[in-house]
Amino acid sequence: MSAQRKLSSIGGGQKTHQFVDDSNRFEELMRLGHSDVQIRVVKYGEESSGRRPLVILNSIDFPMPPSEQFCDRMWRARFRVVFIERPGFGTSTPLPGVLLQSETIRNGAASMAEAAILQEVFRRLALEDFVLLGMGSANSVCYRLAMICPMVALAIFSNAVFNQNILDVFRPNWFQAMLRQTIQSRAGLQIASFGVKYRLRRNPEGFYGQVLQKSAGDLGYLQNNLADFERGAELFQGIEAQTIEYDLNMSLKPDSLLKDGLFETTNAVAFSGLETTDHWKSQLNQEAKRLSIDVEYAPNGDLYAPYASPEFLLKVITDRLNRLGAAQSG
Amino acid sequence: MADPDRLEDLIAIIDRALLSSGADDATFESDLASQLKAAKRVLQDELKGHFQRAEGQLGNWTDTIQPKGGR
Repeated sequence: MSAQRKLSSIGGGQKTHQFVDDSNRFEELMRLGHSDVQIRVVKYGEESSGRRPLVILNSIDFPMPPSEQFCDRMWRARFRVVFIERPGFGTSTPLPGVLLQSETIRNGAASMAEAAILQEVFRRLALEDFVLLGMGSANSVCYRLAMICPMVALAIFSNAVFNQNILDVFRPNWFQAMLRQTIQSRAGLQIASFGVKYRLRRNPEGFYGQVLQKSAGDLGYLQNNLADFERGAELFQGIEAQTIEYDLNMSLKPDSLLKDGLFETTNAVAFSGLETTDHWKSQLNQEAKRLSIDVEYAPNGDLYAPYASPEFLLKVITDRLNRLGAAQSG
Repeated sequence: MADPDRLEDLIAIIDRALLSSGADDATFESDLASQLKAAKRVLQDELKGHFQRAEGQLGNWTDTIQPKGGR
């Protein structure tokens, strides 16, 4: 397969291509409209391959696409990975500050504006009938996308917090204390984000190693893809405190959208890894039942369970899509 | 203070999302539609404030270069 090297323009906007590395992952900065709003998109392989897109949105902890090995495995199963860096996560333009106030975060307007921007990116990339995979803190926006975007065939909410009370599951203890600080006060947020950036700048491998300590699958993924985590740590330096506040509040505080039975008619599944605590699993199962959504547990991984268990992810996707196809034809 | 061009682009993007989700239809009422509309309202208010401030500055500037009673 040959990688694309051609500069092009779509939808009246401008885009530039640049290779992430020597692999078949390549990235573009997509301009939206006439201003300087831009979104980073990383795609694997050729657009004209006829494969179904697997669109991945990043969590706050790792604003990077999955490894080439993961993308290649998806490619061989006839899925094409398209990673979109969410607004404000290092390269993509942040949401304007006026949308990142306490009230607009709390009432869901900020998250919905982000969903509208991402839907615009889907439209410009001409993505149709695709699988959407939300990683960690991306899920508050993914719930909304699954419900407003007709082009989403199936949504997978990986490590979605929903409205669980789960701060206790984060390890190590200093990281858990830091997360508590971020949602309790703006001053606490400033200190915590400074602390995380400092640690990531000094020793990204050490930082990620501690945060991922619960899961052998995640640690294996880290060791096999250190360069990606180093780049992720660099990108994290560019995330503004307001974006961190928005993202953590949407993930760690109750989201008023998540009413009982919300996903009853949505083609979506919750996804998590078995390498986590019993507390997380029982809270997730309880929330999933309340929201009418199934949960699938991958054998390896926790925060990065889809990347650490690609075969299981493929099984979940193909089973769900087959079931959907059967329901439609029946 | 957000760039007004950026605000206009985002308002246009939200308008397209409202249209494609059917949220502009009066019969479509949901949490999602009201969240989209809330985001649009906030951006519109910010844009309006930006133009009001710009008009105020323009007024101050014309007063400065053309003092009352001057030639």
